[in-house]
Amino acid sequence: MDDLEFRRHVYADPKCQNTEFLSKKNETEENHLFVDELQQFDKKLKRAMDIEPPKGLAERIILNQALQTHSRMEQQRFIFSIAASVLLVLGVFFYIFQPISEVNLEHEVLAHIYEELDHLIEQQDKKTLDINQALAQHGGEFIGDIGKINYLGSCDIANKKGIHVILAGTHGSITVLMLPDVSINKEKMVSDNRFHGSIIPTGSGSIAIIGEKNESLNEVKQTIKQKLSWAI
Amino acid sequence: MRNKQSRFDALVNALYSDLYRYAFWLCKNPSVAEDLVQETYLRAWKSFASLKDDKAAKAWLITILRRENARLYERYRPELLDIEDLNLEDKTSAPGQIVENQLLQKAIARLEVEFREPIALQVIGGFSTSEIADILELNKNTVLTRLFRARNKLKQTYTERKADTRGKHNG
Repeated sequence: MDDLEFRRHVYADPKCQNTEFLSKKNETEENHLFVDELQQFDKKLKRAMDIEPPKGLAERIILNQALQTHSRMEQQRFIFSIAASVLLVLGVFFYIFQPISEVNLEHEVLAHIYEELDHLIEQQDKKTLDINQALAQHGGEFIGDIGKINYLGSCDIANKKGIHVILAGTHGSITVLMLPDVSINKEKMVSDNRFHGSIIPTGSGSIAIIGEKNESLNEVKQTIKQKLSWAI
Repeated sequence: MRNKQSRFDALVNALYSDLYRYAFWLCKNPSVAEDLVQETYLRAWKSFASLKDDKAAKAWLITILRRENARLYERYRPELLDIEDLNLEDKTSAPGQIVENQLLQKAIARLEVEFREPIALQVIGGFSTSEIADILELNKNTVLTRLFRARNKLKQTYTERKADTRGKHNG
């Protein structure tokens, strides 16, 4: 580092701690004094530049940040309340329209039984295993026998494919319509002049169990509920 | 959340004075300087997660403040006040000191911003030349040259004015 370089460096960075700079500083008394002079001048500069910040600035900064955080939380609360309102409207909408589709389901079930009355006198002697084969694609399976099966076929209810099963009852036949793709909220009673029964929710779908007016269906219903298991 | 808030409060209390001083010497306008500091801390709060090391906080805040200042100047150019009209409060210094401070303040205010900024970072911020080079995105030699010219000019003005005032007193 030559003298000119040194003097320029003292002006640029009088507090420099670089070893080359420090050894140059200690070379002569003159250099030492020169560095001291500029360091003294830096103290004056610092005093001049150290102006007082406005009173209460720190408090205002923290307050400002708190207010903004608060207003963002308010915004989020507003968005949540809008979302909640939309959900409420959707909920009301579905509450109003769902019963209609369930009423239709009861009608469709009965209508299907009347359409295919001849299945009530079938004597096919099917096995539970056969039903399980049909149920497999929906992820369902009966564990154990569910009684004497007189018919097994497919059906089309509420525009969804179902499995049509006829079981032997004590007073005629019991129709079991398995509808894996038709979901309902809760059990629906089905009844007219000739038949009675119910549609029960199961898995992600439902099952209608309908028999003659004087047929007791509780046992069949319990058997089906207990023995049917859904993999999905 | 609690931890974030207390870290933030500590950062405000520790650095707001230096940040304000830097902002003031950057824009030479007290109310714009305060706005810049406020805006800087708001932005800092929003991206607080990106500050990994509290030791780097000062340089980080200065970088945010410089960006805010550039953004502000894109929108409008705040009126530049004459340092003589500013009437900077100085309660701590003796009368002779006040005169000296004012003399230097005027000289600093008259420096071009490219010289004023590195000297403010060095004197107020205590940054090394390498750190100043990083903050200003300049190479170190350019920073050294600017610091040399800034201090040279200030020293020159100071010596001349000091001689002037002494001359007046004597005559």
